Amino acid sequence: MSLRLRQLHLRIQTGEGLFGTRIQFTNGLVLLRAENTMGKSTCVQAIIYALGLEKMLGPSNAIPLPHVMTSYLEDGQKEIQVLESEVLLEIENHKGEFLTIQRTVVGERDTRLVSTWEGARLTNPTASLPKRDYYVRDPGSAQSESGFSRKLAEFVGWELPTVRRFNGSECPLYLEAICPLFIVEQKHGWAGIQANLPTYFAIREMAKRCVEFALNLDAARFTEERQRLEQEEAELKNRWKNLTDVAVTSLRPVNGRIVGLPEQPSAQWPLSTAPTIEVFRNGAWIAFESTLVSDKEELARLEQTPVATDGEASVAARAQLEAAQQSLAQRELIAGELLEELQREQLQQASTETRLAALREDLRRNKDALKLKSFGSDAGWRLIEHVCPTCQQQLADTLLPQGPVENPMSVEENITFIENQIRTFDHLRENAVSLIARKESELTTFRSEIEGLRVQIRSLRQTLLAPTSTPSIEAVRIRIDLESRIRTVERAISDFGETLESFAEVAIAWRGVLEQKHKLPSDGFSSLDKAKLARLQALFREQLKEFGFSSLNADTLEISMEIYRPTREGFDLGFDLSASDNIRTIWAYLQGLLELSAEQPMNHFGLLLFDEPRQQEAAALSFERLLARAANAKMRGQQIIFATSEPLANIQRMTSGLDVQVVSFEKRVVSRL
Amino acid sequence: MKQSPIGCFAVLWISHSHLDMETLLANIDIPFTFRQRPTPLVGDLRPVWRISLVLLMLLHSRGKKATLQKLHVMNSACRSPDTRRDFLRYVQGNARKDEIIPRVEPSLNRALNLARGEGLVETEKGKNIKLTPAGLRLANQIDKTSDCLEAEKAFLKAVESFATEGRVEDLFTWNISL
Repeated sequence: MSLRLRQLHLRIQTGEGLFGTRIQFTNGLVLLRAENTMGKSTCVQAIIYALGLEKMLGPSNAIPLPHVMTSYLEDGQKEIQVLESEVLLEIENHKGEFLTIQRTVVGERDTRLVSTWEGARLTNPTASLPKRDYYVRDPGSAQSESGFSRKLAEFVGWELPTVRRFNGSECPLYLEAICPLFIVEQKHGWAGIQANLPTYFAIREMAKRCVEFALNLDAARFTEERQRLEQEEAELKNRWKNLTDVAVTSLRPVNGRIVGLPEQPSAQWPLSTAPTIEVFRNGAWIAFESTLVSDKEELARLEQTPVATDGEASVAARAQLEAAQQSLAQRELIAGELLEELQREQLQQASTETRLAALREDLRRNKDALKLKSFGSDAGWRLIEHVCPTCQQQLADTLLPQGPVENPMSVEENITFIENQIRTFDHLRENAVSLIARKESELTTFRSEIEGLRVQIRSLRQTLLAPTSTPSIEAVRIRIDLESRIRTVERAISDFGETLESFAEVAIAWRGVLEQKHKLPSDGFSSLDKAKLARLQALFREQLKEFGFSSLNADTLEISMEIYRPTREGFDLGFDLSASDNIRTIWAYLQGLLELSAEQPMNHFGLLLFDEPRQQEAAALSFERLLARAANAKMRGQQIIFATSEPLANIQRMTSGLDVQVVSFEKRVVSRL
Repeated sequence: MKQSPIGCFAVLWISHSHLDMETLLANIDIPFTFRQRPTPLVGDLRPVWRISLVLLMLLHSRGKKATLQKLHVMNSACRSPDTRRDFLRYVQGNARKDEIIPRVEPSLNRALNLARGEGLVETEKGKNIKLTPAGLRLANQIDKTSDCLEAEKAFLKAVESFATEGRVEDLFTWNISL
């Protein structure tokens, strides 16, 4: 999992011959020294260009190289036109494999094409090596087979994780996003850690995702796993709800309801008390078994006696008609009352919902106020201590006129107060919902009973009107009615039995999900993750002290477990730091990552490339210490390249006794070859 | 809101039993006291909350400044999900201005006074209210902090480019065309 630069060639063909430069890089600290404007940044930019990472420098499609590579170069006082130019870079990975990259700057070839040779073509120009072209900069270069970004990731041995964008779509975490952790260019790179982040990719939490990937944290996988499980959970809940709906619908024809079925999937299955069906009969809910038994008995009794003729039935029929009419009137009255009650409940519930929404909004504001208080107390506001900032008198914590409300609750008390109210209203609403459901079901039952009574009355009237020798229509109706009722109930029960089996499936899957979720660490980090972050924090603090960080006490800075960046008491650094200390934090953080990658499995190039790390602001002493520490990279087999304009004498003094490679240019870096 | 330690049931009982207070007190044979409890307060009347809102309103205004009139209009528009929705419709040209009735709240003036006292805002030429450097820094910090004033931030960002002084002024002038 590493990348080392071995050789960089810049080749510029002009009307007056070949210009360019050749630089070799060893492991350990390499200093590329040249005066300002002499072309050392050109080298850094050429490396970025050769690696196809120019999107790191901005969304523009322009070639990120100065005029010396693109239009004209200066030789003494003369300006010479550039005819063709290209960058060649030889790199080596952790397996000792070489890759030579060639990318045209000016010329016939498309600048979006990159040619590669599987070997060290610059060291050994005559070797015959397999060559292949890739493209860069186009969308898809990170995913497609022939995209260079994907090739480079493969060469380094990485599998780029998939991340979510702001618009909800997914994309790979591009190399351009990760590399600001390894490469800092001069123009914008020193504004802060990961200052060159290509935010226009619109990747969510990009900075965090990149560090997470570089640190190779298990937390990323845990988050993914948790998301997957939560999605599965939601699906199972949905299936459970659908099954419940199916069961409820299948019971509607028999006016039945289910008792003892949990609203949400239950990990316990079979339930300790199995769900049963109840049927609403004659104004009460009774277990379906008993209605089935009584219906069957009634049918058996009727079948034993022959069907009465109308003549025999007429006396009984008259009495029955009267009873049925009475019963109808009574039911209609009850149904009317029930409807009224139902509407009242629904109205009540709507107002409970309104109240809940208002309470939730207020709760949110109170919680905001609690959070904002910490800003105020950080800024030293007097009014947080309930003192007027102007007249220094006592001030109640309210914007109402001082006086009427003398003693408002503290924000914390107020939050508890509102939460209690919300709990009460939530409870009210839940009760109302179940009450409404019950009333609705009762109303349906009454309506179907009323319908039944009307049919009965009609057939009784026909019985009374028909010739006396025909079989009693009412008697026949009762039998048919009873038989069909028994059939529907039996069918509903068998349907319900089948649905219960599906419930069992969901319950088993649900238990599986809960168990898997339980196995995930509660704070989202593995012990290795924590060790890595703790070590990074230690390395970071240690270096800050070494480099003379003075804006704050280095021991109060932490690597945040939330964003994996240095923070102080939960806030991003930046506001409180002097310019030179800002530079020191970048050194310490990026070098901390590099050093950590030698100790722990991480996704790091094992390479740092800093353009002008000693910004004007940093003191010479700090830079000297940075060099001393960076020189240790050689022992770890890593590579650190600094481009600098420090005078050669200074560098020789600062690096005396250190094992470093100094590549110093007295004049222009690009010269006649 | 005052509550006696004997609780609400006693109060209910009083109201149902038509007993006068003296008889009642004479009949209670345990020692009791009345204690004043702190009063609950809606969140937007907390000074920190409203001052933070003012900072955000200014942060999302052109030149980090606004007239008192605009602040009152925005403050009134931020009040509830309904007012936010209506105001958004208005600035996008989907609602008439008579559907927006800005409310001038004295509490905003108090919040502004306190913000000025804390050195977060200043007045410019007696007309505009402007963020001071300290105010701007804090406003940015609040703006970046997640899970805090989320609904208000989303609203202010949505109307930022539409809610100009001109459109606000327009709310207070009536052109009747026949």
